[in-house]
Amino acid sequence: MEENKISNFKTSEDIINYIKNSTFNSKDMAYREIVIQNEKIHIVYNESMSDDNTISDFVIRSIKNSFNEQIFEDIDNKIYDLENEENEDKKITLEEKINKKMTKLKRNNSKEILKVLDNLENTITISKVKKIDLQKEDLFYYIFSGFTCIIYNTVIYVVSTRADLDRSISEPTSEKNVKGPKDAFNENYSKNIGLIRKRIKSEKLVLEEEKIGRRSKTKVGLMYIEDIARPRLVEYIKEKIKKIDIDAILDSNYIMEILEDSNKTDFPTMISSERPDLVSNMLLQGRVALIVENSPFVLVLPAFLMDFVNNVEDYYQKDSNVTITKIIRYIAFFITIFTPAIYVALTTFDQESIPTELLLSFATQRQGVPFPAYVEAFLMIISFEILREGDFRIPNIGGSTLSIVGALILGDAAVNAGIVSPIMIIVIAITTISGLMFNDLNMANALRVWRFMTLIFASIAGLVGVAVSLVLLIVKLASTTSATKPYTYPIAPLNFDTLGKYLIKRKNVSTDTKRQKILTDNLTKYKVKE
Amino acid sequence: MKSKIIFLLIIMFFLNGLNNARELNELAVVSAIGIDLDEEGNYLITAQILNSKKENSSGSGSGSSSGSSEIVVFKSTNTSIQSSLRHIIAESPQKLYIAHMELLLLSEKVATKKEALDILNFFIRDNEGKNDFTVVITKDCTPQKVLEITTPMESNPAKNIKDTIISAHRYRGIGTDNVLSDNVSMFRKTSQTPMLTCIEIINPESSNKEEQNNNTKNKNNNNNNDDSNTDNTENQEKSQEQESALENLDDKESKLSSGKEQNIKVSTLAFFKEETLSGFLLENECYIYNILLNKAKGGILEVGKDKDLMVIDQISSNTKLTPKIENGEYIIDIFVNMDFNITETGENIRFDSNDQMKYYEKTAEEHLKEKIEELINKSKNEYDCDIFSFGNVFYRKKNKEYNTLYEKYGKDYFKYIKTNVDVKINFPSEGGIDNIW
Repeated sequence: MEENKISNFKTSEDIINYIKNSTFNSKDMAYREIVIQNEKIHIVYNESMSDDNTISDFVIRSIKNSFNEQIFEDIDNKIYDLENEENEDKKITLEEKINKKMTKLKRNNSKEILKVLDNLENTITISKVKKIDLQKEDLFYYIFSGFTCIIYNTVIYVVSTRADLDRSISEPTSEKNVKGPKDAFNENYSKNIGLIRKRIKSEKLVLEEEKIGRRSKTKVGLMYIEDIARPRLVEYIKEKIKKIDIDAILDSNYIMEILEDSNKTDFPTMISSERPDLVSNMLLQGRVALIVENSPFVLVLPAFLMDFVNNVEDYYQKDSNVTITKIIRYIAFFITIFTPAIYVALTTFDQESIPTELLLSFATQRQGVPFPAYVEAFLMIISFEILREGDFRIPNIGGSTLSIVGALILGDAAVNAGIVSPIMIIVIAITTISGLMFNDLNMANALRVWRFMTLIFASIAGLVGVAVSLVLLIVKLASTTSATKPYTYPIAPLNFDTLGKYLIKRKNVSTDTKRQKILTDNLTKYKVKE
Repeated sequence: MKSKIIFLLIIMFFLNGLNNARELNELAVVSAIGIDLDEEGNYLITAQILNSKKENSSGSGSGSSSGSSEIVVFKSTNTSIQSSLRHIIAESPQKLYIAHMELLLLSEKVATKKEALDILNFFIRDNEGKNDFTVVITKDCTPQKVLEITTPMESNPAKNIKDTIISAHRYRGIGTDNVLSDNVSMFRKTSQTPMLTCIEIINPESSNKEEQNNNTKNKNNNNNNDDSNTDNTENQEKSQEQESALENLDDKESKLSSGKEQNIKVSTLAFFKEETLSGFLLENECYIYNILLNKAKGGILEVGKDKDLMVIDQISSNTKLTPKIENGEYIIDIFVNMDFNITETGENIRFDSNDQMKYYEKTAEEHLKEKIEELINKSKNEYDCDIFSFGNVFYRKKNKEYNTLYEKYGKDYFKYIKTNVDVKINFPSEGGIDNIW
């Protein structure tokens, strides 16, 4: 129906009416008329998305100026002609003559205006100008992206007059680092792409774009390095993205969830990072990045479990010292999953495995605690999680209040009240502190899920239960794939080369000459000059 | 659906584990059990339980806890060990938990009257227990008394005793560091003689009685070996003093302040014959015994007297026993190879040249050889027991000959085994003193 209407448009008023009707007279739509030589040029834009100054300074002025120039040029010519004619009606003043001439000219005006508008692309001082075809393109996408429409008859030009609604580039908030670059992605799509381009200034860095979301029309950019990333991987991701039919994409997590559909796992199978240096690093390894408009988190896939344990900051520190950091991270990975479970298993089922002195000290601390150890553990973990969730949501001003209350309640008061034993506080403390080493929220949440899993198994069957849950965890991890790549690489499909390079040690950049075979066929990374 | 069923099965399979769940504060952690016999031949069981009661933090700031509150001792008498232990539950609010037991004390009485395997039977069979506690004979005292003594240095007295046994074995060569599983296998082999460590109480009642006790000890010694001269007893007393000094190094001050405190010391080894206790070694013989069984981890030897005195400290020890048969005679070649450090010398002793070193090595070798032979003879004649398990050497390496040996001589076969003792002692260095003056 609409398309029929569009084809029936005869005048600019029709188009204006069409816009008004379609937007249900939204109050933030602005309509302006510029009358030049009795011909109306309509300007339509969305006030909230557009910058008024740009419109008045550049669009309207440019149009008027270019008309004036054109007209005066014409008029000058005519006057010259008139003077040369030496007409007998000399009483008629020059102005009258001009007016006379102007009326003659009017007939040609419409053609001339079109000429001027066509010329606008060259004369206007804004870089983004485009003539659009109503039949093929969605006018409203442009209007609500902050473009200004210049409508004359049925010709529509759009000029970018976007208001700056984005924050400036700031430090990463969820992935803090001590050394290395400190810029972060923000909600601006093109800025995000720029932050990556800034780091890889190569024509091989390809950006493909897709608009997803029937209503949101969110731009999703697919970035990869043409001669490193495997074409099959790029095709695979492109196909998946093309299939998406959803009404709105509000954050990159939407895309992540849709792409992850085949994986029934708690662990994240995509890196979601706000650090351009990390994304560039990943792109150079042959991975593919997905930049989603309005989301400060760029997705990278495929991702391995190892990528969540390791940190890009390792590359900004001395390589030999990173080994200990890595080992500590692996230890923390297991501590954060298994400590409460092992504590419960040992104290309620397998007391003979605890050294006598420790057993006695545990028993002394547990005196007067009315709950079984696993209830205690659940209580503490849940109250910690409440505290953590509250801490995420609370405004910064209230943060210190919360931490004081949390520390007092979870720490001293709970022990003094005899609800939990002091050793349980220690266990939960070490568990949660270890969990904080993983800055990906999805990862932290997955670890939390498995912490509960192991705890349940441990409270049912002791150390046997812990062993069973460990087996389940390994099975679950090993059966996960990320963009068809095995998640537990390089451990589950064993690859000694990669293991040696990344697992425990970070190889020195000058000796790490090859890329990972699982990600790319273009292996040369570092060329040793003779 | 399938996965749900599997999950349910797993849950059902593991839910029975809940039966076994016990909270820590429901356990009475037994640190040591003592077994004795009463007049009627019933078992008298003493269980030392570690007290896990919370101390009041609001008390005085001095922090010194009174020793008595750290352990609780329960006693019970019944016809079997298990039933006596169960009877304790009637007194104790918590179930006895013996997986953390460090010590099993057997009184002399029970060790002589009952067969050792019968006593250990319960501890081997019980599914809760561990096999790594030490079995000890209480010499000249009852297990009840030993278990009631609290030690000032360690809050867990049983652990303290066990540590004392281990360190005495490691640094003085007395006692053994065998645990239950070793003992049981020893008891089950006919060719092996089980040996258990003995502990005694220092200052059993008061200072007067202590003297009496010392006298009786001397008497005992005299009874046991008429051949040994007074040197032995002197040595023994010396070593006793050393021992007590070692043990109570830090306690001395507390001793001075609070009078004579009772304490426990490791004394000797008890040997078993046909599963019952048959006698005790002398304290200085333990080291020789350990050397011969290649179990010596440390110890000192005193060679010579007064100005010729040389004290040497063991670095390493290696003993090989090789059985052989020559002309129908059963012979064991004993080769002892030991390294010693020289730690203390009399004024006559000089290590100026290699020859002198060799000479002193030789004297030490002769001294040790003499002692070994003396002890072997003593075991044959006086102790009447194959304490070195020579039978086992034949049993392991020459099994057929062992059978003929056993058939030929019966239980006293070991008396017909001859020994060739060869001792090699090395002094890797003469000690730290090197022309300082």
